[in-house]
Amino acid sequence: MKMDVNDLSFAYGKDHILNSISFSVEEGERLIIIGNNGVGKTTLLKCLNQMLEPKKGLITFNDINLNTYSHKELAKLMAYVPQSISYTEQNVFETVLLGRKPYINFQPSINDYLKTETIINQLSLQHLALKNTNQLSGGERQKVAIARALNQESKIILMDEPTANLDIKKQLELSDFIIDISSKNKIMMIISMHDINLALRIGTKFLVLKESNIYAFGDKSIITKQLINDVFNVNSKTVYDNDTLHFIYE
Amino acid sequence: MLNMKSSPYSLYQEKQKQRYLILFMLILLLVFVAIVSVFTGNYHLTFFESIRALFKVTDNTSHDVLIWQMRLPKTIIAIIAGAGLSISGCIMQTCLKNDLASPSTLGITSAATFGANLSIILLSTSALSISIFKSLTYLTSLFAFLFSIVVVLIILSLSKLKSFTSQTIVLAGIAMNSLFQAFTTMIQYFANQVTLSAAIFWTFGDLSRGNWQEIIILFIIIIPIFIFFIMKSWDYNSLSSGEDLATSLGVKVNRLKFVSILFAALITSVCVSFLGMISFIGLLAPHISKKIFGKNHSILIPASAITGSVILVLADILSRTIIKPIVLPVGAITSLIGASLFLYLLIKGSKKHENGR
Repeated sequence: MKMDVNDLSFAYGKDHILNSISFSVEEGERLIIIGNNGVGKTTLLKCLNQMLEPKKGLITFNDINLNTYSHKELAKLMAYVPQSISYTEQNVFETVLLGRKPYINFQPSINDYLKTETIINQLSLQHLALKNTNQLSGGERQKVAIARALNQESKIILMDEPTANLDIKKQLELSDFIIDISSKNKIMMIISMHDINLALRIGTKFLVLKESNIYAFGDKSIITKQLINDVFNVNSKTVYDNDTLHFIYE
Repeated sequence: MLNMKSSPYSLYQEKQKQRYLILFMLILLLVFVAIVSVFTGNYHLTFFESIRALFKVTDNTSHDVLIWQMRLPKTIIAIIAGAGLSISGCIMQTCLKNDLASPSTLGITSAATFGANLSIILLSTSALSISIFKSLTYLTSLFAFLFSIVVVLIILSLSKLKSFTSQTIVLAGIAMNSLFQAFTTMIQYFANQVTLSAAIFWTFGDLSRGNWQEIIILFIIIIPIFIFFIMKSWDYNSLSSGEDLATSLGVKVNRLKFVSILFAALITSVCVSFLGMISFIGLLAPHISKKIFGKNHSILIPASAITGSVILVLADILSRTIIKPIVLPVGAITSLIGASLFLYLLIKGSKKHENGR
């Protein structure tokens, strides 16, 4: 299982957002896209999901070009967890059930209902099943959104800033939750974030964007004080705690 | 097996059962108000006279005509038009992501009115007599339809613009509303008295205008679209969670929105062109249904349809009984209720913003 992105560029009219982006992700990996706000992280995710049409470039999954996939096939391959989840008068069960949409023709089948139940149990969301999504807290809402993505049974999950707008404790909880489900379900994850320390906690691979271009791509070792200075324009110190690297901004 | 009872799926099934039970009771309510509607009116028939006329076993032809040519078609029209206007409002709200979207707030109704006025006034000034006027009612409907489609196309293309949020769409609709009202006033200014009164009379929503032929046409248009909407209910469920999400779930969002809004507008314009302005059903009924049934469209769409029917039949009964023997235009009644709700929603919406966490 391998996804390759080759020389991807995107522009809104004359406004260049992404410039010649290339990287690859493999089974079980969690790729974190890091960069300042407005650098094109969301745009990149949307290009991967074919929601936006890139100006040029090739995206393949197991050497098959993604634009040969139909809408439904693509939905079975890749799930998307948007940054702001619109909450409506749909309850949690219905929201998670929505993940079965690519498999539903007219009405959900028994199988769809049972799978939804399994996911809800697996993620311990039972107590919320009949609550409307607009009554949930930010962290619960993110979990429900991830549950829906898992219910899609896709091989890849794209997440746009899943930890933004959460309390610190909830950020850590959700990070561990993400690590847990990705290693249990062997799902490839591509996650955009701007918090370096959380990124280091979750990610196995890192793609750092600066001014529409790739600044660096690789494993943990690429994240350095120099990189933080260049990309975010802040000085930092490093602290080792239990063999984990943390950055403290000056 | 112990925890089977409280498993999420069984809880959900329980919830769905409750919802279908409420839907069933709503259907009973509709049957009840429909019967009341057939049995009430200025001309008093006893219960048995009505029943005999209804089953065609009466000797009194005037009773037969009263029931079969007046009250029954009127009631059936109220049922279908109420359902049609309501589902079209419901779908527009989902597609444009705005609970205030409806045929009347988007300006579709006023555009249809303008079209109808234009055809009535133009045809009369081109020296066509009133007698062939009658055979040209469908031309009036056609004009009404064409102009409502124009508004739909404008709304759809505006909604594609990046600067247009779901809020500004309704503002654009209000602008469209005034625009077509202005056009209507202008052409009415140049009409002579007879056509002017015909044109103005046309704008009063009136259910008694239709007869069996119109009923059949309404059925032919609304039933297939209703089935289409129901078939797509999971697409709408995805769409109401956001366009990006719907796309990622495999929904062809642009095509779905375009076709859906077009069909919704088709229902509206046909209803308006046959019956005149009947405003706010498309706002009122889906709103009530969402509160009761939630936003799962496979139950919301039928629920909105039945709620719409109940409201329109009730409004029709009210219009005939408030100041007996005068029959008020039913459009005025629905606007009265609907506009009040519209204001209420705006006030409630702004309060929610103030208290936002």
